[in-house]
Amino acid sequence: MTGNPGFVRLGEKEHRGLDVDALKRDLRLLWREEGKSREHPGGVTRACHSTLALAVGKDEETDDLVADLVRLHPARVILVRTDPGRAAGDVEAWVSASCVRRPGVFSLLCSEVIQMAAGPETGARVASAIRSLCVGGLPVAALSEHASPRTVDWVDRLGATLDQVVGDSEFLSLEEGLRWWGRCVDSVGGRPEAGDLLWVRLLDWRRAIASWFDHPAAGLDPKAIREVTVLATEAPGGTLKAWLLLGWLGSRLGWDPDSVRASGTGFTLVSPQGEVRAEVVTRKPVDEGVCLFSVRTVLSGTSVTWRRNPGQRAIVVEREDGTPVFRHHQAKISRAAAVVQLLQRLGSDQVTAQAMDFATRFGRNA
Amino acid sequence: MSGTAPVPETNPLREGMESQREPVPCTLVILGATGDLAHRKLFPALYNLAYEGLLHPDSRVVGFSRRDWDAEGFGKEMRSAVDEHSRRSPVEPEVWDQLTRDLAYIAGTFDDDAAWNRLKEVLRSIDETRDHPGCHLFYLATPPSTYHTIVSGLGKAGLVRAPSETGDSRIVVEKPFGRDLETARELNDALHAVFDESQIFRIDHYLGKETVQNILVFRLDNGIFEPLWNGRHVDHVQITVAESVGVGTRAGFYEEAGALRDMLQNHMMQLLTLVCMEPPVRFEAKSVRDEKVKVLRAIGVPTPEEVGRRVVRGQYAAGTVGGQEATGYLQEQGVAGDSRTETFLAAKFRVENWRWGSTPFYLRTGKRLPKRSTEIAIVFRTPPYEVFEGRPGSRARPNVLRLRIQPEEGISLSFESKTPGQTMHIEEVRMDFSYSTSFGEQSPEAYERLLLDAIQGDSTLFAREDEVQLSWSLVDAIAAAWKEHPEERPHSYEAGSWGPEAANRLIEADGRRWLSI
Repeated sequence: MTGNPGFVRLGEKEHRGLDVDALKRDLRLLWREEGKSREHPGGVTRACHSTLALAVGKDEETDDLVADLVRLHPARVILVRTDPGRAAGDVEAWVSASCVRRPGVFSLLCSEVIQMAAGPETGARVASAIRSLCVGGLPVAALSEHASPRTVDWVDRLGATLDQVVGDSEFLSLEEGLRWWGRCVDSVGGRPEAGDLLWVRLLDWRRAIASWFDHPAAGLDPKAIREVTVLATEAPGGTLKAWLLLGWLGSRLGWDPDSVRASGTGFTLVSPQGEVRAEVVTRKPVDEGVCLFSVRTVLSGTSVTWRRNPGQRAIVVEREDGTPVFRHHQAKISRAAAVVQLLQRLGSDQVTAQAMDFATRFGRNA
Repeated sequence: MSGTAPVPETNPLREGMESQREPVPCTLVILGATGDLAHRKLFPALYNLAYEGLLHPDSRVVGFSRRDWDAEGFGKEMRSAVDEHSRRSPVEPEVWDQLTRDLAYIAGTFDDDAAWNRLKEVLRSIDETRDHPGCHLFYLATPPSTYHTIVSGLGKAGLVRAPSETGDSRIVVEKPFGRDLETARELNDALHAVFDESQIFRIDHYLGKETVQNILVFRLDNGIFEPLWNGRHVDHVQITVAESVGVGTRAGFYEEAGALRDMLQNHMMQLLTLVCMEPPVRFEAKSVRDEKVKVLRAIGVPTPEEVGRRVVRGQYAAGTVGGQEATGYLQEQGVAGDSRTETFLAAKFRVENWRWGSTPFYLRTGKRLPKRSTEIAIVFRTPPYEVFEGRPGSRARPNVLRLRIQPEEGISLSFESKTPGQTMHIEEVRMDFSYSTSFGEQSPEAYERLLLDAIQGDSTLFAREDEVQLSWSLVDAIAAAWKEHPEERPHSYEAGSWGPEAANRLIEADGRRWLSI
């Protein structure tokens, strides 16, 4: 069950072998039945903005994610559960609808959900079925909940059917993450474009850091940064987020990622203004889901630290003497909201690509 | 903190972010802080902006009102407003604490110099707590009758900083901006005695609506529509702003304003100018407002004879709306028994320029109509020749593009289609885009966007002095023409109908009819 208010799941149909025509018939039947149902006096509205193919694990709880996704972005959702316990080549599929009752709107707003439980060696069949089930004329995106879409066979097989691939490097090893970012960079302007949820989650930090340099009172030019220390959780997501943040800073401030040299516990790089020292320090996780603890910069004879304290949803900016100067509230962003942000930015984003490119090259050179 | 490097003109770390600059720290002074507007709209909007991190952490809120409260009482009022009206609930404690940090309240009347001096002291002490002065935004959430007193009080107390100084002062003025051209000019003069035009934000909340902003996006960011957006292809345009409610508790205001001043002068003229304006060079305040003003100039001022032919006024009588009995306007509480105030207005305008010279614009607005709906219908010309003449269902039906502003926000286009079957039977069908089904998430309230723009100093979605005055010229000409015939009463219409028969005759005289809503 989902905790989403107003969420309604409609008429799950018969589970059957992978038969696209039968699934389409089931969908037609579902709408005919629910449209006439007296349980929905305001009627049901089928809404669709795109086709979203979602790769999930066998026992993953997905109700909340799907409910939240279609609330923000009505779509035909194709949920593919990888089930290693099934026989090779075996796929079972069924249809239902995820609906939301909006305040003030009489009709139920519904998105179609097609679920597949796929055994090993089913990538070709699944990809072929998704190709047939895409809603014509609308964008098609694939997203992988807990792994790079590279690791999901059917995603690669879909190739140019996809407009967008969404991954989440927070759950990848450093090496996998760097590879994934490389793919994101290569995809800019091409098809499918690749996007990373970690980049969306980094926005709070980017905004907090950028805004400090907006204020005339700060009297500081970010290009004067000589030293950056990022304190992150030792989990892979923390390191990758720290590297991506460095990638963003470096790419925006004109540092040379190929000039990286080891220096003590960190690295040095060449910037247009001279040498810059960068270091990522890791420590044990404190709050669940918190990857970065602080970013300290040294510039123009002083230092500024952006810190997220345990148990708080804010980034505090501190002066050199530790005095807090600003607090940036961190807006809560659900996984679905992060996905939708990526989906809505189908165009190339040079800033993202440059940050990832920098982080990848920096990472490889380091 | 001292810095040696020069501060750059642009911040390289801002690139690629939605907002090119973080909002400046702002002290928002709500004048009329205990009123309905503050309760229902401003406090929830402020909270939502704070929730989304769109207010600078050093922003502060100061209330100013007659009621004998203190900061704590003011905080409770703000909280109850947010609990009741915010689109986000429950309230996030951290956001709330930040929004209400150093909350201040001035109890006093607007003609009390001591109260203004207390406000000055509060603003000075807030400014001292931050490194940079930021902006002072004075929001007039008060009845228009107080505007002059407030503006003069702000001026006398030396509370208004010139735009050239570090840290700006701005003022947000709610409609109505005067009740005719003369009073609008007086108000503008009073404002200009203290504020520069660039510091004045005249708010028409219609411009904060997503669907109203989308009119320009739809027209100018889609290759297929703008080539058709002219009199060669558009037969006529209908703009409807229908309300199902009656005058309610606003009789005092409405008796003075009527539909002419309450709706036509502001909301409807905004919609009309957005539909008619030429593409601006850039989407920024001056370019957009220059083009809107050109439209108002092209509409011009009607003569009394033209008003007689092209404007119909009505007043609702008792009837049934939405299955509920409704009293007539004259029986409403606070309405004079012989009131001639119009609760309905239909008008035909011409925009006399190259693009629209041959296209009439029909506008109608009213209270106690069958439903609440705001819609712009672009009715295209029919094909020059009927290939399917005589076939079942075939008739010269125009394609109609409807921009639904509220409710059920969206856009639809009607067109002809062959029905399935052996015969060439033709029917009208509709392609429909709905905001709620396409974008899912709840849109921000109009006041959120407009408050943020005012804080950031972006006046694109606010009315400029000349725009307001031109629309008053038009409205004044209509009011003057009606005044010349005091014996004429507004046409009566039954509550729950679509207005008086005379409104139908207005459009039917041109061989057209009002579209069903």
